[in-house]
Amino acid sequence: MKPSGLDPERWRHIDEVFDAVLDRLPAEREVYLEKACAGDRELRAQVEALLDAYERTQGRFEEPVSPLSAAVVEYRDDLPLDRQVGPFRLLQEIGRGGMGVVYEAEDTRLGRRVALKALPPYLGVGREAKLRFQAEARAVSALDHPNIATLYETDETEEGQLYMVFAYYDGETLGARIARGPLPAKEAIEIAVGIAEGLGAAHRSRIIHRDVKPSNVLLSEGSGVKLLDFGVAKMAGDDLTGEGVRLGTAAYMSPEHARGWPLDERADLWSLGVVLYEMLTGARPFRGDDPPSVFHSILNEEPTPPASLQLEVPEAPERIVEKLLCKDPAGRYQGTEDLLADLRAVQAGGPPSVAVREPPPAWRPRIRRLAVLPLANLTGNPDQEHLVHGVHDALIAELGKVRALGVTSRTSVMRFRDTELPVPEIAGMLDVDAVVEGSVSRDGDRLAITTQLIGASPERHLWAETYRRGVEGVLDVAGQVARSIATELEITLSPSEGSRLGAARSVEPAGYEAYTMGLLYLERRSPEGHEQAQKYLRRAIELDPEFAPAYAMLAEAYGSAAFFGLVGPSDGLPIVRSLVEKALELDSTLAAAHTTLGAVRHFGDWDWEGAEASLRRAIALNPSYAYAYFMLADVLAVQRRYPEAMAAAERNRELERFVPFSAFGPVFVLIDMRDFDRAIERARSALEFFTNFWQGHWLLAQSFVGKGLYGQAVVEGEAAAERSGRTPMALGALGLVYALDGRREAAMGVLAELEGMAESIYVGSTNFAMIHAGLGDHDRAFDWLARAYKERDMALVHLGQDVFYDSLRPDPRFADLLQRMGLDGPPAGTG
Amino acid sequence: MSDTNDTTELLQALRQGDPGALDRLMPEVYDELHRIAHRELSRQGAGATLRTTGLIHEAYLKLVDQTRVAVDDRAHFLALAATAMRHIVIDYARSRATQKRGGSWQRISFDEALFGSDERLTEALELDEALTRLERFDERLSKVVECRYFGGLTVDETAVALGVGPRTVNRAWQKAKAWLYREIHEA
Repeated sequence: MKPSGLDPERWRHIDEVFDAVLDRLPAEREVYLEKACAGDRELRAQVEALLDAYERTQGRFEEPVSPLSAAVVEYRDDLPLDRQVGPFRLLQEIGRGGMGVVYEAEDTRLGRRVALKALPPYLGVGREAKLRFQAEARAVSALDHPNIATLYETDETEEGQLYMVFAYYDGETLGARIARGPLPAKEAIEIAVGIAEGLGAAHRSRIIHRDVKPSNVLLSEGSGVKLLDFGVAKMAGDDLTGEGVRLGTAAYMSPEHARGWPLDERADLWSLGVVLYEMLTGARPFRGDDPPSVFHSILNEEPTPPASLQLEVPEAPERIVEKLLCKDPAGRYQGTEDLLADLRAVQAGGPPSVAVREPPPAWRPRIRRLAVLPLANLTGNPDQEHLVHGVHDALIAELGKVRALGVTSRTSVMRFRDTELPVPEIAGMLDVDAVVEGSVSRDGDRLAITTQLIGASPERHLWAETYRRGVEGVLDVAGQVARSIATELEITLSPSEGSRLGAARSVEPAGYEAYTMGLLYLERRSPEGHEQAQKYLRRAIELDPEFAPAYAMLAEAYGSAAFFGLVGPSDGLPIVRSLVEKALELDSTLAAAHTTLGAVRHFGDWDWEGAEASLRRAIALNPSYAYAYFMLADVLAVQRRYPEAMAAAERNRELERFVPFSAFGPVFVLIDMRDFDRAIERARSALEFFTNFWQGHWLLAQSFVGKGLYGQAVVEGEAAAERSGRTPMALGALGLVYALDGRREAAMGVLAELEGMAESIYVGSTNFAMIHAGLGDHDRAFDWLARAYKERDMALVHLGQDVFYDSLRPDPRFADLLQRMGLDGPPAGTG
Repeated sequence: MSDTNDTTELLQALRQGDPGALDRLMPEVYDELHRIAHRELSRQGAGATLRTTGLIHEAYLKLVDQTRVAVDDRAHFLALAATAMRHIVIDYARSRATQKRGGSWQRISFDEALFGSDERLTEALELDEALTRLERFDERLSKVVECRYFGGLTVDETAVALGVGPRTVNRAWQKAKAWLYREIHEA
């Protein structure tokens, strides 16, 4: 009995036993079956039959049907000549092209000759496609104009292959005519007039031809120019992914068509320009060996002036061609009327309106600021997230190497990860001109990385590409993307930029994966995240000891651990330094490594000059590397170079407007400048956005101390302490403001809390120093500052201006300390 | 031109349980697979063999707005595309069978070698009929066959498409084959 004849309930039982049998070794199956079927002989027979079928089908159907599907779509648009198609009898083939085969045929009902065009069978597949086709055909058949071939009807064969029936005209196509050589200017203009008249009639009915080319223009004997195939391209559904487009069609496509942008009537005018050019010279203006190279030529190259190919071409038609072939539709004739006026003027021997050259209008808004949005993980596996992050990181790093571009930092764009906001809105929030979107999926053991560049205003697709590479090629792909986008945006790369973008080495896949895991954890910005990040990054180095970014990233991990107070600087900084030196030894072009080196020189060496040099080098290598500007602002502020510091902080904020530290960057500088009113204003407005950023309150506390408003300083100090989870840095400030506000007991309490913490974690000595200063115990304060000096507490670099130590400033010990640090000189605004 | 947003939205609707979404998605996917297959073929020339799974992945990239898609959407898409691929193959096999019976209406000049032989054609038709019966019996088994055989998806991809583990897919695949074999060969 066939299994489908079974009762479903029964089947489930059989299936269960069958499953259990398959779980056992062949030798055990017999015994099991005996027991499981317990005398139910039919059950046993069914399971045994399945088992038998199972053995027979091992290896069967393993090959998917793909060869079959290839046959499915291998289309034959020929129809046999001996056959009747509906009422039509086919007489002979008279032409073939990308959109089907054309036959001379007889309409047996009327006894008249017609041209029957059989469309490729695949066009008719699907009900919606058919409806689209019929709608378009109805519109076209309503066109009644001497320069448009009349469409009588459309129908489909019994097998569903669509065909169109046109009036039959004797004559040859313009393509055949051009093949015999260029046409005299007078004749070319006459044909162009005919085409323009026909297009004009269609455009008035809002039909765009979309495929104007010599093989679609019939030079009929007696009845002039006839345009063929109106709207056929649209009925076919406009497949414009490149490879499917035939050369003969690609050569006539307008730039907007080649880009896949929406078309209007002016696209037909471009194509007519190509046809006119070809009539005059016998050559096509945009050439290439395959559609992509033709598209490249259309988008980027200016054609050779017709007269330099064909001496007899007079100047006037050349000007008309030039205007038709303006890459910006706005620079072309805006309709057939204008074009016809010029063509007729030339026919009459007069000058066309275009006799005077006009400068081409600026077309595309300049795109110089980009954001690379988080890539979609299409691997189908959330565990691959780190690789997707890695690719995203690499794209940002490579694009950042293009000096002319400003690329938003990774941290800023991460908030747009799962957004459904439209591109213009995202671009507005990030203040960029365009975004790069993309995805990463798995294609076997390769990654398929898709990227597209989308202009924001107006929203439009500018460029797209898919790369298929193994993990080892990720950096190389990112370099290619950066180069392609630079080309697309007409940015000329300097030789050094070019070589940096080309320098990507292939990576060791396992090492790279570990590296990207490190990246993922580092971004969590939590102590546990740091620990995991360090683990993975060390693993990455183990697996690929030559991979410079892993050293640089590990240096950053240690560095930020020190910055967040997770380790003491005297423990952390030497490690950071050695890692960063190793990274730069392997690859001296890493902006991140130069930046970290700058931070080490700033916080660890108090070598402001060296720090500035490192940071400026980082910025030269990657002008979009936001963190370098943040550090530079700090280095400059310490040196009291405030206007430059503000500029750097503002630049950093522009690049990272959704990173709280960056949003508050200018506030850090304003406090150093002692411009407390502006500091308060900026801090408060940034806090509206980043409500939980505790350093915002910490900065406000400093500002109020500077203004002598201790009560308000306490409010902010308490907010900072709470929101930070009572970290030492916030507690130091809190203890100080309590003391300044006269709440000595509370200040002592905080001091005790810090002392308790210091037993288990690193607590910077400056935190103790400032509370003692606030309590008026200068000796103790200076003791702690001496310790801070010795351990290179990172907060010490601001000692020159720090409001928290103002009570200590008159003491000669303070001046001595500043001098030893190289920070001597009066703070701005006080002296 | 296929509308990326439409497909993406339909997938979202499907995910949210809108039963009408499937009916509207299927023709889109069917058309797109056809177009891509045709394009690949005209590019590679006759005699080319296409990786079905490649077609499906490309259709996905083309039809679905990658930035707005959920993991579930991709799974739905894979399963759906395998079904569409089944329709394409079977529609074709049926029309071929009609042509054979109907004589020389359409000159049959495709490369027989491409096919292996008409055996594959018959196999696909028989399989489809048996599969339609299996569907009523055990939908999961039939889905696995659709994904693996018609969609050309790997075991892992099928697992993603159906939201089960690869081991389950493997077992279901073995069992479905046995079931189908009996269904086709037994009297």
